[in-house]
Amino acid sequence: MTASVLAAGVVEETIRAFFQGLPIGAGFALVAMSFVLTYKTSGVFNLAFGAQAFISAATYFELHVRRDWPIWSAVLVAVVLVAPVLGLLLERLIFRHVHAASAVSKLVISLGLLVALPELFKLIVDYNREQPFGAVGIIPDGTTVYRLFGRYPVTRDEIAAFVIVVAAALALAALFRYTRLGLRIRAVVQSPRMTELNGVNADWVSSGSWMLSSLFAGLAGVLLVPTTPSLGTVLEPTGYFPIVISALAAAALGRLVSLPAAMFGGLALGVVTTQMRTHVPRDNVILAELQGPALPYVMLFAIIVFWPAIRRQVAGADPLLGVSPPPPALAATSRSRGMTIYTRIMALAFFTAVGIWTFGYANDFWISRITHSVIFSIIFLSIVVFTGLGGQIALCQVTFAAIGAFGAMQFAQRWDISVIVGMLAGAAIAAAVGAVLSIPVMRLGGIWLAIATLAFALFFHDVLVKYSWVGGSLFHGRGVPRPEFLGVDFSSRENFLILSIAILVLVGVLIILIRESSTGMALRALRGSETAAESIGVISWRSRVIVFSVSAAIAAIGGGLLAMEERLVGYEANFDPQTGLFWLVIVVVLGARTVEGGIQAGVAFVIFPELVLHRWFGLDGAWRFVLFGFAAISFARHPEGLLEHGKRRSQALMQRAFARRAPAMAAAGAGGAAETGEEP
Amino acid sequence: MAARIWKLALILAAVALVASACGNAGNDDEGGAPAPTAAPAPEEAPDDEPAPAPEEADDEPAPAPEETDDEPAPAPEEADDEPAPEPEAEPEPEEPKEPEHRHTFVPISGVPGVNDDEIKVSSIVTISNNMLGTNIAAYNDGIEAYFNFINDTGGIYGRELVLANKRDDQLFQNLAQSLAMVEEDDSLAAFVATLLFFGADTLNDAGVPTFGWNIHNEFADRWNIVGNIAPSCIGCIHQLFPWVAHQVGATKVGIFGYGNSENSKVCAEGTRDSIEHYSAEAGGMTVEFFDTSIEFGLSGGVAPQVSEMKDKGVDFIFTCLDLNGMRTIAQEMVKQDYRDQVTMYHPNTYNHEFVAANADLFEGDLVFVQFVPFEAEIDSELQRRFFEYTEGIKLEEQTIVGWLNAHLFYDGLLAAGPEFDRASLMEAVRSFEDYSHDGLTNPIDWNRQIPLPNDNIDADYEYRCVNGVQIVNGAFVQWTGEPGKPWTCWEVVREDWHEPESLSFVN
Repeated sequence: MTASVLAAGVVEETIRAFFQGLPIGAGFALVAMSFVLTYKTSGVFNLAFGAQAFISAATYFELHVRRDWPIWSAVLVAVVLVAPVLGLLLERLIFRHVHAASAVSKLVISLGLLVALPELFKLIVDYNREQPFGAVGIIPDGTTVYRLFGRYPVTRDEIAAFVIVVAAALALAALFRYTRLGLRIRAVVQSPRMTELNGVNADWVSSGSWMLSSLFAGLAGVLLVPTTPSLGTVLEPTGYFPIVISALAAAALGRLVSLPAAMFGGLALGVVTTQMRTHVPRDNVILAELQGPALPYVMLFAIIVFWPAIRRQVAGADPLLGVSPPPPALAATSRSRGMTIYTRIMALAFFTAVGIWTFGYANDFWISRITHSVIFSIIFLSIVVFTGLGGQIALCQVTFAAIGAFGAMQFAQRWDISVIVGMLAGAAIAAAVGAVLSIPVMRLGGIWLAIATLAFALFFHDVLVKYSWVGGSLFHGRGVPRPEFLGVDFSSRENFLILSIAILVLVGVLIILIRESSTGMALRALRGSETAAESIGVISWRSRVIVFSVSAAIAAIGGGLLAMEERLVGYEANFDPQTGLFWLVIVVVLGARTVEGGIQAGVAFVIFPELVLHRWFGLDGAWRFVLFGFAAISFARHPEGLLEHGKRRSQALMQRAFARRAPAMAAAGAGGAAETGEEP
Repeated sequence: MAARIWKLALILAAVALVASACGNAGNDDEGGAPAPTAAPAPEEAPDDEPAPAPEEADDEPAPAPEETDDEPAPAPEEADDEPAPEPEAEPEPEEPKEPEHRHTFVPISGVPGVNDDEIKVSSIVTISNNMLGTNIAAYNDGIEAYFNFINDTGGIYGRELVLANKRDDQLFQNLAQSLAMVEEDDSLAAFVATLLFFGADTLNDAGVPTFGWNIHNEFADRWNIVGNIAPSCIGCIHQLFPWVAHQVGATKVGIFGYGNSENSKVCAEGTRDSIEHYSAEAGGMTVEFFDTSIEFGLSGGVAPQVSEMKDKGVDFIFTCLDLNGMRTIAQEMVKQDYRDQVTMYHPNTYNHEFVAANADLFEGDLVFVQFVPFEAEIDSELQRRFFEYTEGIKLEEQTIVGWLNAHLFYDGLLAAGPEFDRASLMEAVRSFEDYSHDGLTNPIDWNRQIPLPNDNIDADYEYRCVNGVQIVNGAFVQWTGEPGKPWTCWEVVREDWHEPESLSFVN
């Protein structure tokens, strides 16, 4: 009797959790399907999807809540008008021109847009002018409750979201399967030129595809608001990001191309989440994590790494995709000796002037800013190692930096051991974590590697940080002292800046040595073709593990220094995974292949918004996200970075000038010689 | 192989040598790690701070210069040329009862933010990227309202109080904004109402008197930083929790806290421990549900948790959540037809606009605050002035926090005397031993209550007091205390179960 009652209770709880999970799953499904739609119709792994969704939802909020527009007109403008127009603009102004670019280039561009679009929107509409409560849904009286089978409660908002998901899945499946438009869309994604040979205007089809996918992003944006508490509280772009990444698990189930798989995957994700919350005991520290936000990230990581279809997709991609021509030589390697001397003298003069000003005249604020820029340069050099040398994109450098910061904190606070030792221990731990992480993702590469590392970063952020043996809390700074090292007290700002510069120089030299070593050559070979590289004896797994570990250790050293400089671990301010996306964008925009590129990115990250934007132009610091975000568009044309590109151009111009001048000088020399009777 | 082993041994030896040469810099500059029991004496202030005020400042609240102590010295001649305020010329409002040296003008140089006409201060407030959605900028309104009150009655020391620079820390720029404020060095004091307070050490170490909205541990152990309340023990056992639930006849309790906020988690654990500790005295009350696995924002909802509480018959819910988290839980309870059976305890929902907009969700719930709520009228001049000078302003919790901070700042200035500077201002503030903001807060001994009082009763309040209001038809109604005595208090030294007293702290 007791057993049967218990069993009945469990069955009842399971059914109830199923119906509670469906609305959450509908949200995931909607995002996953929209994501798949974008990928199917444009070939772009569009991480800016969350930004598009935010813009529609924020427009609706602005019109309906703040300006009292009726629901229907606000929806018309926000979803039916703004969203497709945004899609059209993205296609016409950006993605049309990078159709032939690599998937990684498109990913970087979408990351730039993810950073830039919401900030631009907020600046244009003065969105932050006040922070009222409660974004609302688009369904009138959406909180009205109905009872399924007279028992299981569900709101009108949730029913609407579910119905729209199913209807959208059917409609889109029909579009792609049974209509000529669907066929043309698929054809244009595969080959626009071939499609045009058949008399199809590929440009218009591509524009239509972007408008359609953007419409869905906008629809997802407004529909998610009432069913996602965090969005209903404060409507910010950051609220969409974790949902999009979680929904990627569902999209990945269908290899980004199957709409039904995305729909069922999304629904399943919601249901599994609520089943875990219902049946897993809350008092078990480890198991309780599976009730929180960890589950989608674990599933995403597992799907990417273990799902056979993903591995087949990676292995079965365009065979030429894995054979990239080697990147062009750095400008510095091909310039003349005179030019090199001139450049070095100028650099020396510049750094001397900055040094005199910093240590002679700058106040605490500027010394702190310069120290920050040196430290961020070190962190960004980790991206130079991974992306510049390794040719891959990882989105978890911010996590490795946090590990270094927490290492310094834990050693100093818990055991009263030097923060320098703590920072080095943090670097060692980060290197070990990087090595372990590199093993399952080794064969992924490209966008899947980026997403797997992002899933890891989010898992660290949502699960691990709160443990006392890691960080303890997101929202409170934990004290970190400055070090004493070899008898020198680095507690003053000036001394700590000197220490930071010394470490930057060491890290820079290390990277140059790696670049010129056999490992660096192996990495360059692997960038071109992994198969070819292995055929000549390059051990790919070793190179990958090394690049993961070294890059993680460098980021951790930077993170440790940042904690010492700020004398606390400001995790939420410095090490949020979304912050890490901007780090990547700014480094690849300015130049991920060189040490000076990383340093310039560090300076630009810290000094540019304060000095140029704020003090010179009186602009909001948010403009840096807009400027560098849109600058990421240049990555497709100049993967070497804007600064390296600029150097190469100026070098070419000077060489041309010299070339023109040389014959003239030669002629002048000959004439002069004739006049003076000397030999030319 | 042997060569490799030797190389490895050499590297390890080098690492060991470097490690042995490493240490951490001295405490002068490492304000980050709070020392829970060590109250920093004035002598321990950083070397570069201005020298502490003379010793007699400890014993008397107004260490004014001698020439002003004995008689209301006329302002120096040079002050005659100044646009000296003439309070007597203005019939309204009435001048507050203050020491006569309040209007003594003494020229001061070298004190940041102070000139012959004005005493300027800055604020750092989280305005943009505020993840709570509340109007924290109302903090500035409270400061300006108080400054208007003081300026209307003649200012202080022949000068006007001015909130000259309002900074938005955009949530993540608190440290940078604090550094910028220190760099510009044009403010006597800082007023801080932020969601993160990573700039605390920067302000403290620079000797900037800092007044703020105390929701952070950073308000402890820092001589130059004071809040609207003193550092408090979040996780301590407290009679309040079982008492409140017992008052409404509850017997089965559910508790929520955010897992990714240590304060929230510790608060939830303290609530659970309190109820379990006093369970017998509180009618056998039990904790039936406890969850600190949820994350800020509750993006996945709380449907399974609410179902579980409903199954277990929970009739009272304590939380350590923000007001949006409360709404999410309440909405889910309404959806599951369970809301009417439960009373909720709100620690952060004293927001009139929010409660009015969610009247049906929160009917009958209890909200607790650490100041006298607007609904409780007491015989306090400061409260009357607050309502007078905030008329027409939308009142928020942060409005009165700004007002209270500004009042403490003003009282500190008054006690520091006409030749004040940053150090003497903080010395004066720290000399206040029974400071209740004219009855609007639980009295604080600012000289004693510096560290967190978790294991140190000497650093705690004399009484643990709260003010409770009930939500009725979308408005607040005083729930604790009695007319004129709104505070409900327990003696801190008594850990046994005892009924609270209703008290008033009006001077």
